[in-house]
Amino acid sequence: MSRYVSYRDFDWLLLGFVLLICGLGVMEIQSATVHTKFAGSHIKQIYWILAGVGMMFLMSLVNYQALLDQIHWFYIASIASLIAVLLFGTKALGAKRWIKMPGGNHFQPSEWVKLVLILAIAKFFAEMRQRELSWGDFFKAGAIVGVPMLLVLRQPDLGTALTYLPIAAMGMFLGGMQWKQGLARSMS
Amino acid sequence: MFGRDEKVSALRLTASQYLILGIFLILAYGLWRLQVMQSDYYSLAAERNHTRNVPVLAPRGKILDREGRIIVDNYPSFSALLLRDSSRDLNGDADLIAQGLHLNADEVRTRIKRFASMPQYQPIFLKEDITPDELQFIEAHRNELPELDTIMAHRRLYPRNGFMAHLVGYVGEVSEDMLNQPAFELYNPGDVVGISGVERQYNTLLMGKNGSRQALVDSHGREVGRLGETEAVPGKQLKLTIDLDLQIAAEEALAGKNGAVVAMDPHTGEILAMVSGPTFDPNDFAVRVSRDEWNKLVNDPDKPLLNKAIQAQLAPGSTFKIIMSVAGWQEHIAQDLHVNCTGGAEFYGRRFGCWVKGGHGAVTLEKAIYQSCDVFFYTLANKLGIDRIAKYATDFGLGQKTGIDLPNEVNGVMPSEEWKIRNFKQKWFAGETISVGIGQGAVAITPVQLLRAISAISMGGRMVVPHVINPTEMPPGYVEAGHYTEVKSVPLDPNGWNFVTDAMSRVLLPEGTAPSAHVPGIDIAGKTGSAQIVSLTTRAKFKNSDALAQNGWFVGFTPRRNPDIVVCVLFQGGEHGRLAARLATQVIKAYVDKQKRTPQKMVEKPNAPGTVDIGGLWSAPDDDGDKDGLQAGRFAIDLPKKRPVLATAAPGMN
Repeated sequence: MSRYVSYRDFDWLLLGFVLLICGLGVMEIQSATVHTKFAGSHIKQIYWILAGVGMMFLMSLVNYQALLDQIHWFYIASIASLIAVLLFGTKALGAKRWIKMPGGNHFQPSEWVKLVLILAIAKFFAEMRQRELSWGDFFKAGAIVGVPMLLVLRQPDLGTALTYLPIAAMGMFLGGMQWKQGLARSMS
Repeated sequence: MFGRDEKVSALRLTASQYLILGIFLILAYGLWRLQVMQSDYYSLAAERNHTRNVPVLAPRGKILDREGRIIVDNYPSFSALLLRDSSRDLNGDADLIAQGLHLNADEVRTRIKRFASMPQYQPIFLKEDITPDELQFIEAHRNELPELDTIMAHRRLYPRNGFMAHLVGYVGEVSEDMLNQPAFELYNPGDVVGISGVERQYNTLLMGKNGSRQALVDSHGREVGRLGETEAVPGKQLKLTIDLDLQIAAEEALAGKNGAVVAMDPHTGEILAMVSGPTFDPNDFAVRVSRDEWNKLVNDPDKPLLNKAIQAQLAPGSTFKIIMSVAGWQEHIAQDLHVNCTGGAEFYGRRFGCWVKGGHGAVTLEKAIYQSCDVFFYTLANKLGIDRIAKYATDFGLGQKTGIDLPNEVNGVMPSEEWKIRNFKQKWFAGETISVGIGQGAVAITPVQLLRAISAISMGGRMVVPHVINPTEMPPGYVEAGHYTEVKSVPLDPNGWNFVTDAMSRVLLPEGTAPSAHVPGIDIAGKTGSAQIVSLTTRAKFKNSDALAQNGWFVGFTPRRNPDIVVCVLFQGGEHGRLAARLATQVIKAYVDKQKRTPQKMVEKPNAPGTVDIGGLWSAPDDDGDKDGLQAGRFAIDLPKKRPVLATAAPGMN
């Protein structure tokens, strides 16, 4: 199933747009923090972008098919991390969103859950054989996104929870959703 | 690999791509709108956000008298601040703070509570204009109470006890009403501007220009740096035409009385002294006036806030007879008029009494002036008719503003047939003219109008514009002061006004109406007047209440020909003109005394003032110890000032 990935196959245009948006971000940070005690934050941001690009190339070496094969483990881990945050999370600004990591950093599970959900939804629809989405599959897909979403809503963090919806919507739409189902989804 | 083509519909894939493209286009448009289309607007808003203009207040100009003596000054005034960004327990310190600043501790706590939601960098103004011992308390408790601080601002210091309060006026924060007027359009809320008197009239000159300090602030409003500073331009000092020594004499004359005293140089129109009574203390307004205090001043029946010299409109009484005499002479009626006064006369079926019940007997113009015979002037008024009287009175400026450089001067009333029709839609009755002949009836004038009219007669018809500043000493380009040097001329027969002023000089002699005001050695020409507020019969009904007592007037000048000074006194409730005359002669005497005491010609020394060079020869031991050589030298010796010391500054200015 695995295949060699060449840099010639790489979507350089996509990377260009990503870097463009990152560049705008750096400019905004620079102009917003000049003359304040946060001055120089944009340099840090550049370091983070460079690190991110490096990570991106590293990750691109991993065959996503292999990730898809292990997705149920990732999914279980993400649900566990969301429950952990409800149990042991640090409370700030009236919500429990973070888990304190050794070393003083804070980890926000709801962020990485987004990536897991994308893979999980993709895997779910890829394994579906028929062209049309059955009601049963519709509800199953809904549950895959709905469970972590409800956990995030409990934190409460409506903003992040809402970002899960487009993931489900896009998956269902491309997975062969019928118009009636679309209506039912938008009403739920 | 799985069969992508059979799984995902191409249509749906394309649709999602376009959807994502659309969303990005919207975001890109938003970015473009913020950064390009409205960049000017947002960059300006951001600029304002991170630089703050802190005003640097310009001190107002001082006000000086004609000799440069201080009338109004500034003083550094301290306000106590409570800083809230210290880590102190403010409520715990409230008792000590309240004790030191003479405040109520609970009130301090309430204010701390009220400010709790405000940004921390914003201090609380605990007390304005604190006393030296309160300032001492703050300085002494720097360690125990680090949250206390002071801020200094210049405040106006006015003379004590309301000295010259009406002329000088006072300052205050510019009001909403004033900001809507074109004269104040350049000011900002919170600016301190002149509210009345000279302070208001010459506000632009006195005010100066506030500077500003551009401070860099962060998004919380805390100062983090300084970009630049434009210095404040202090207000210009203003030299008045007032002579402080004369002003003091006038204030003393009117002390405790209701009315006004105005003295003027009839050659130039320079006001030498101006007092209105009762007075108020503008220092009370310099910080903050309480509502109760303000209401008391506004509702006082004696109207302490009114500058009666320019704002009281009253019947001039017998002083009007001077206008009548000149009018009668010009019309060739008065010089040959002979009247037999029997204590009253009948006109148009009504009896008009003379103030001397027994009558003056045979009266000519001269006797009618110094004895103030009413019957003579009834007869003269009847012969002249109202319109000829009104013409002369109007020529002399009665019933109109004099144009003095003080705010809110009033017009007064000089009645005429036309005036009656315009205001009452009624015909003038000939009987009304009779009362006008002795300055009663509808005639209502201000002291400064009367002063100007009599000044013009004493100068042979030369009408000056009264003013309180010297136009030639104003900064160049200050055009407002231009017209104060304009002189108007009323053509008069010299024999007429000389005759009238000669008669006026007998008013203070034994045969006149005010012999008790006579000052030996000073040639004063003048005219008394006493004017009814209500008719004598009405007054009797109110049991001769003081509130309805007659107003005493006196207007006079010295010397009789080419006078140096003309003075007008209104003594409300003074009953008789001779009492007003006594007040006027006090001022005139102070003027004459000062002229006599002040050497007219001083030999000014070419070197430092107050010293004189003396040359000398003397013998002293020379190098070899003999005293055979004469030495010469020059010494500068300090001389005591010969000029008598008069007032050095207005009371309270040291």
